[in-house]
Amino acid sequence: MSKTRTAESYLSFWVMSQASIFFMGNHCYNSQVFRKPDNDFMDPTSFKLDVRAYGLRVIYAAAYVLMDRAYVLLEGNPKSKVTVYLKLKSDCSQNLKQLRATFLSELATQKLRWMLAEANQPVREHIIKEALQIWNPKQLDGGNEKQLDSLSGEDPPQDQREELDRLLSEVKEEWSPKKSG
Amino acid sequence: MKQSLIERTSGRLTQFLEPVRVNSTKVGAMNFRRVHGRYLITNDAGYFALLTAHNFKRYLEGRIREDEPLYQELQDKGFIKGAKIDSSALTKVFREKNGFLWCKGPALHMLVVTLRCNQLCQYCHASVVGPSRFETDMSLETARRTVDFVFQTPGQHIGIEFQGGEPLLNWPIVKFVTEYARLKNKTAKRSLTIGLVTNMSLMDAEKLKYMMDHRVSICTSLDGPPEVHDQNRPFLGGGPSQKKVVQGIKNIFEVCHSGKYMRCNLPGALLTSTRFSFPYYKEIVDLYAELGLAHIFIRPMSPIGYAKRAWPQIGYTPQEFCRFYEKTLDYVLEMNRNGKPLIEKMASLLLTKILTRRDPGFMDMRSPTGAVLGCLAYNFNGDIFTSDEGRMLSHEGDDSFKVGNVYESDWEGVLTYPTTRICSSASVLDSQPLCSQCAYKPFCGICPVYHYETQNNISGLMPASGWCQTRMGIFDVIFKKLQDPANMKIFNGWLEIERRHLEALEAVGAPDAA
Repeated sequence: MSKTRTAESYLSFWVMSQASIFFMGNHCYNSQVFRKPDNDFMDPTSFKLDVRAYGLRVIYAAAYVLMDRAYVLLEGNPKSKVTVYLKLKSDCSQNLKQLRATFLSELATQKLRWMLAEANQPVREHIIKEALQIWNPKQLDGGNEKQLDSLSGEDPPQDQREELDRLLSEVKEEWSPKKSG
Repeated sequence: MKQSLIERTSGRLTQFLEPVRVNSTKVGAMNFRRVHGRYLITNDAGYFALLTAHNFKRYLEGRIREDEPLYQELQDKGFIKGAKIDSSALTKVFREKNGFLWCKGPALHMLVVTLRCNQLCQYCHASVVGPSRFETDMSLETARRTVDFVFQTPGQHIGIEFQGGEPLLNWPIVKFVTEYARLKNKTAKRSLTIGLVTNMSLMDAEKLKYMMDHRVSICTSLDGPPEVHDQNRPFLGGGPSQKKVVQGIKNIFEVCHSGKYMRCNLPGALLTSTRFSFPYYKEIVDLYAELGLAHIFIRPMSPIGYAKRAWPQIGYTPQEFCRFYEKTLDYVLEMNRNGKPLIEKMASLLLTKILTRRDPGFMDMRSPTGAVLGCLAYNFNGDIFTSDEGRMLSHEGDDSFKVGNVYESDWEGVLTYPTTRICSSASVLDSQPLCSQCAYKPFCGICPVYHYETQNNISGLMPASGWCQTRMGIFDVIFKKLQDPANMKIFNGWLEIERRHLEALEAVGAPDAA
């Protein structure tokens, strides 16, 4: 908990493969993610980012996209500046310099994607709401509510009982010898 | 103007390499991706446009003039924001393309009437047991309760599919379910179709006649020429099986062509692609065409169940599969150009989603996934699973995807079961960080079982997901082929054939069908 409180003023956090999905909408206030970077991450390929220029979720999103190639560790103040550390995964075909370039390009692209997403969110929500609001069971599925209400999960009506009995006895006859044999 | 606005895909999302000024007051909601030199843009309604680099840049910058035809096209499809955007039209298209969201119950019910099998396939997901293990046969009482449960589900269409094991090893139950379902449907009056998935080895004239008389469609597994099929699917104890399958298919055609039965009784075949298939792509296609089969379905295999263990021997990377897929599709297209009609099913399913307003009912490729909402799998003992893949995991000792049992559960219980809800919420593409930004989102879907099995994560981590890489690769191939007018002509022909086939199937499934 103390680390959580510390984070409000100065945050150390990381975005790594298995956890990063949870970073998209939430700050990571748990002890596991609140750790200082270890030596593995102390690579010369680190760089600072102005959070105000991108927004934290854009930075998270860029890190998430690199999940198949790298670990991304972020350290700093989530309201102002963070330092990005990159660590290659074993099967990454890029070197750190290339990866840094990829990350920065992804950052710019994510900024654009998020900007468009925000700008169009009301229209998209309106369309989906409208689609859901005109939901009318009677017009759906070609179904007749009255018929489907009976759902037919129960036994057939009396006039079909005899047919069912015949069917059951036939199958029993055919099936039983095989089982005992 | 630089044409290299976008040069590469990163983590399979297309990335800008230079700063781009975007006019967010004019650019509507869309995702983008570079495909074969063009820029694909798509939106929630499922509309798409393929733009040149020049036009894509002008579009982003809001510089396409209103008097240009392109402006009108983009506006009509909802890609340009403004007062003229017709949200009602977009809503209508969204509803039509995502019709499955308004279906009231699952349409596909897979009944595993036995786990027994007489073959030992290299990849068999079902992890079958030997022919003497009668305890894995579905009992009469379980079969009856299963059919009762199936008819509890409220969908207007009910498709029952016999699976196994080899279903014909429990022939009496196949017959019972068929007749009991037909009997129940006299009251229920649903659209009912019944299908059998069989390896053909036990199909004889009597069984075939029964299938035809009772309008049970037959689908088999055919992996190609003997070199591939017999390696993938040997009989238990050894011995080739391909000849039996080929003969079985010929027999069905012969009966169908006798004129007594409807054309929808024509057989289908499923191809499972292992790495042994790759060098034989031409021979595989040739065989399907020679037999007169309407479809060839080039599907990626999933490392689930038994196939996971055998993956080092038979598996492949997503890239390897996509290369195989493109080569095979090219060959199928060439064959069509030469006047031999053969439809590649994966392409036709995706093209239905891309080019029409119909939903083709492809359970894997919808958001949320078809698990429970679109399909259910019933094990021999009455256990109910979200899907057949979920059932396969059960055979490996993991019941995570079990949502009920026909002796204990009712439809409402299965629908509201926590696993059902988790599978649904985990597979909504809009809640996936990468999928929500992907140009293929309107046409795609993800499988919770696949990601649970391969990543130990039911939601899946898409940048590292083989599922995602494979689907993106397949979509890349489709959108590449779409750019050639000659291919488009063939694709439109396929869609027309599929439309007619669907109508015929609906006629067969109608409650009053003869």
